[in-house]
Amino acid sequence: MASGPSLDFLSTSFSLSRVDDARLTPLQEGTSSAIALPLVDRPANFLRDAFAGAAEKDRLHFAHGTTTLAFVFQGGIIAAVDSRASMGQYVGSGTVKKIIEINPYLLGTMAGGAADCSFWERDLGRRCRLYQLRNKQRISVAAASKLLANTVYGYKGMGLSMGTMIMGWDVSGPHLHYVDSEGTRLKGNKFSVGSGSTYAYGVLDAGYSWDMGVEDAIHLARRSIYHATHRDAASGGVINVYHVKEEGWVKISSDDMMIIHEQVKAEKKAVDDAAEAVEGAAASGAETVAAVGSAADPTAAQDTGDASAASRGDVPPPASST
Amino acid sequence: MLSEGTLGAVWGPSLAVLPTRVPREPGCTASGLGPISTSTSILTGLCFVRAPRARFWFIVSCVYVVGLTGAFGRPPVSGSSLLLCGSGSCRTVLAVAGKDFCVVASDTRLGLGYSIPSRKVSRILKMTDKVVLASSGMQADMMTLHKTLRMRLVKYQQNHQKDMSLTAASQMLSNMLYTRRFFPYYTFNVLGGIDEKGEGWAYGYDAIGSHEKVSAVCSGTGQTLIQPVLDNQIEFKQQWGAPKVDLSLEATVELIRDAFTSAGERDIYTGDYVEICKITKDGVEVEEFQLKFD
Repeated sequence: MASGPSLDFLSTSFSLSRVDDARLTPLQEGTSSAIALPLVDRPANFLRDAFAGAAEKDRLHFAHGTTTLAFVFQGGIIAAVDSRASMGQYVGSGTVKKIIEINPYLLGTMAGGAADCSFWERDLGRRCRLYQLRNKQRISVAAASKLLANTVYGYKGMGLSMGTMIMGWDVSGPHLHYVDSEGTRLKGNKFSVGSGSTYAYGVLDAGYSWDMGVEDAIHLARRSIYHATHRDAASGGVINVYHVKEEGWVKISSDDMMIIHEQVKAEKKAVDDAAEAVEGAAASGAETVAAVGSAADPTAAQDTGDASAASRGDVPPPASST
Repeated sequence: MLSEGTLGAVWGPSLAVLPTRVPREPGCTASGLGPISTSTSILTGLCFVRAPRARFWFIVSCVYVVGLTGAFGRPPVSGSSLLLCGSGSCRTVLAVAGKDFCVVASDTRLGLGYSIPSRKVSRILKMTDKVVLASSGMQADMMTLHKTLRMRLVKYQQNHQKDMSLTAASQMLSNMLYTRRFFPYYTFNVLGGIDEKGEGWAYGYDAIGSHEKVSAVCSGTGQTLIQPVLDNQIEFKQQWGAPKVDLSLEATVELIRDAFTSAGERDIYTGDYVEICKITKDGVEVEEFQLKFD
């Protein structure tokens, strides 16, 4: 009977219960592990309809997570996330752990509904462990992401909100899959998910190459999330970076985004100073150097965008400079 | 006699439909007529309409019109108005964890729209000697959740011959909330206590179970008023270079008292009494103090 690999791990233990005849009392329901459905005609629409006419302040808001990214390169996989959870307009938390450690060699990220992501990725961890115990080998990343995708597909249309990336290093190398609550499952080398993903993609795509060194890759990931937190209102807090290697994942850093802001500003200043020096040496006349140099000082305290533009000579220096 | 009856039938409705402006509870679907004005007009009408037959028709027609216009309120028709009229996410709860203690506090006012049905409603559940839960949000869901939790705690105690630890209780609450993902418990919980190592920790939850271990968390109507104070005074957020001071139990309780007093000034749903539960290795001690009753 147990000749081939066991497929028991495919059965969902969290089943949807629609008990019409044998109605469970709330206490009975509270102690069972079935996901309860409202006993209405269209359970999938209940939550949306219940708050249809309500004022914004009375609506049920769930914690949502926002900018995450991950990419594969020659040295493994780097994953970087922010840590803000917004509940409507209120910042529910500024220290959410959006990288979920499923097991020592699998990571999942959280974007969308915080409760949905953490619950289903914890359930995924349980099933990966069961697979490992039953089959005496670790589950592959592709199979793990497929388990998750199939599970949430069962709840498709019911309002789950989850955009997660499952990554790990199995026997066939490092793999990265994107799985979301619509049932999408994509394999790829570079993903960013969340409201700030567009900003992160811009920086990530500009700096990415397969042959990057590990330090460069970490630096790129951190900067991409920083730029997303800078421009997206729903992203912020602490930037967490993880690295997935052959031996498993390791946590690289956890820095407040303001610290990264200062670092980025300092880097830009260094780059611009170097560019200035080159321009100054190329241009003839000491007055040009003096004018650009004095213009750089008052504008250094402003937004970094303006300062670098002024010192590059794209924007004329203020007329009132000495 | 017929003419008297007709007179009564006409008199009744015309009096009952006297327009009056009455402040409505937020979200209630009752009509614009007030119960006081309607009953006054009915009584006045009864004085004038003497003949028994006319009186009979008068009363019948009043009842009919009152039912139609909903002068005495109408049962809420949709789920949302049920929530809004019957609950209120009133009350403020918070939990602050120290090095080896935790304080969980909640106000005790039950607000329903613009009314205060009760001033002394307890929202704290003492789960074990080391773990305390406080819930804000809908009263009914909170009571059911607490009942179910009590049952689960007893079951665990009987199965494992020991009380649930803080980490176990926090995960259990999260799972319980998530099993109602599609018909949530409209509750915003905070859990506080001492873990197996003797450290104090607090957990904040959203309605469907997303939880996070923190040092200080606040939920409810006073959340936006109190949470920033806790971020500043307990977590020292964004205070680079300032020394992070561990507050003592007395200092924490003082801070919580001040926070509730100020929140009571600016939030209509926070007030009356505050129940403060202090959890230390010696157990749970409950203290109560009074806020303004306005």
